[in-house]
Amino acid sequence: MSALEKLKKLDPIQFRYKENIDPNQSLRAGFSAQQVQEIIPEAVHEVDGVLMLDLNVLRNYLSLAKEELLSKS
Amino acid sequence: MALGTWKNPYGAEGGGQPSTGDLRMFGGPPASTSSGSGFGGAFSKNFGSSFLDMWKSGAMGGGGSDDDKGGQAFSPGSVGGGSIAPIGDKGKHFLFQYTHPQAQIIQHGPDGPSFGEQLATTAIGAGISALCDIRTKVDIAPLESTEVNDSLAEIAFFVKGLRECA
Repeated sequence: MSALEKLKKLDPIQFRYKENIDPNQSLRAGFSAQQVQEIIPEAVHEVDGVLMLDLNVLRNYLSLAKEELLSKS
Repeated sequence: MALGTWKNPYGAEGGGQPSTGDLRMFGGPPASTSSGSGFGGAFSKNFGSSFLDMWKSGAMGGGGSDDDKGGQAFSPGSVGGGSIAPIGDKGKHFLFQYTHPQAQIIQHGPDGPSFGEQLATTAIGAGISALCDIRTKVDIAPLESTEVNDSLAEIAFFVKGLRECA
C-alpha cells in the first residue's frame, strides 16, 4: 500500500484533551493514535502504556504522498 | 542501564490524578548487582546520582518547580536529567522537544505553558511526538475545525483534504 493510500485511510478528528491535561479545553485537530497504529505502526510509539504519534514519520508520509500526487498529475 | 522510563501520568485508562510525569534517565541504582563492582560499575552507579545532585543544586540549570514558570519546563525531580522544552509560540501548541541531559538545555520564558499542557506532548528520542492516545481525549468528532493550529493540525487538515479530493 502506498503512502498516499495509507494517509487516505486515516480519519482526522477534532478533540479536546481531558481537563487534567489541557485546562483550557481547546479544540484541537489530530488523529487517534490507536487508528494510526493499525495503518502506520511505525508512526506510533508506546511510552509506558500511552501512545504517542511521531510527527516526523507522518511528515515523511506526507512528502511521499505529495510526490505520488505530482507523478500522477 | 535502561535509558529511561516514563511514568504514565494519566493512569492505565487515562484517568486518575496527574503525577509529575516521571521521565527518568538515571532513575536510581541499576538492578543488576554485577554493575556495582569495578570502575565501570562504580561509574555507572555514581553517574546518575552525581548528575542529579548537580541538577538539583542548580549547577546545570535545574532547580525549578512546577510553578516556576521561568525555569525548566519540568522540574528536575520529574525529568531526572533530561528536559522537555516547548516549541512554538508561548507553549500554546502541544509540541515539545526532548533534550538529552548531556545536550543543550532549552528553557522557556516566564509565560510558558502550564504543567498540564506540558504533559500533553513529549518527544521520543530526538523526534517530536504528539499525545494522540484516544484515552486522553474527549469530545471526539470528525475533523471540521480547530482552535489550535499546530503541526499535528496541519497534518490532519492535509489528510482531510486528501480524503475529500479522492
